[in-house]
Amino acid sequence: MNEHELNLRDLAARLPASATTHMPPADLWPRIAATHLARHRQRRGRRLAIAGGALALVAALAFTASTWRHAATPAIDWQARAQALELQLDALPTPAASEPLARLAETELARLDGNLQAAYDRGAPPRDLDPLWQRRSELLDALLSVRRQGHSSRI
Amino acid sequence: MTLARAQRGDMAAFEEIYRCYGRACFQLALRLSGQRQLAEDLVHEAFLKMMDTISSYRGEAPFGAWFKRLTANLSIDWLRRQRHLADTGMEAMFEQIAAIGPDPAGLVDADSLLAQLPPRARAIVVLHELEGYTHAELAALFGQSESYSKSILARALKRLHVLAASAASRTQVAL
Repeated sequence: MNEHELNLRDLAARLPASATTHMPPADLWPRIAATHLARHRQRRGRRLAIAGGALALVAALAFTASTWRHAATPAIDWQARAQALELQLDALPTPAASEPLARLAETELARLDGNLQAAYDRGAPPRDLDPLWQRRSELLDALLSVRRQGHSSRI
Repeated sequence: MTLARAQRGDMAAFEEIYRCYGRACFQLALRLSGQRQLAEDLVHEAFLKMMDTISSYRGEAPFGAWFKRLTANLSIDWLRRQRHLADTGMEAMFEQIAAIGPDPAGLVDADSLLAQLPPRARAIVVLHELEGYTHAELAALFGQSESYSKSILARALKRLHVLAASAASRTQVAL
């Protein structure tokens, strides 16, 4: 027989039908499905863990950034706040005689202004100036409150 | 549409696909591997891989052909890992037939004859003759030249005819 005439289909046609069974076992699909579902659950768990980790990281970064921003910029806020309070204080009529509390605050303010001036004179960094501006802001707040009360009681 | 549902991960759709293609996939794996248990493992892996990758199936080829190719590639990969496809010389490869010998049960159907071929020769016969692979595709799959694939196919088919004739004569003598 010429080799070019040979093929498996002709050969198989001359032979009896296959005696072996080619059916997969009945439990093959349930096994495949169970493995697939188990892998699917595992992957979903991993994805959730990764997403949770990423979320925690983003939250931590956001918190750190917020803390840093907060820590890095309060001097500007306190200084601006102190200046705003001072404008409000100037807008109130000057009292004839200061209340004892107001006198205390004014004395403390004068001392604090001296400290602030000294700090600027020696070129103090913002971290040294910030607490002084914060304290000045608090004192102005207290003084404003006392003056407003005195003004309203006279009215 | 079953495929569209399967691409969305619907298990009922996957089961329908198994009912349609499970048997053909198993037959192919069994013919390529020559071992029933191994064929089950290969089908198991082929379906898992299909379920993971079906979302990337774009319909360039009929689904059945795409899936059978996936099964064939997995089977060939397994045979390669087991070094059944190591590049022994052609003469050495066909000498293995004598070592394997005829089926003691005297079966003379095509599958039992195929089982007597060495793994690489059997894979080339099955893929070319039954699955329609071209010699160019077989050459790429086995990392050999097209002429190598053609030579193995010709020798394997000739050997199958000799084995069939021998089995037939034994049957007549027995009668």
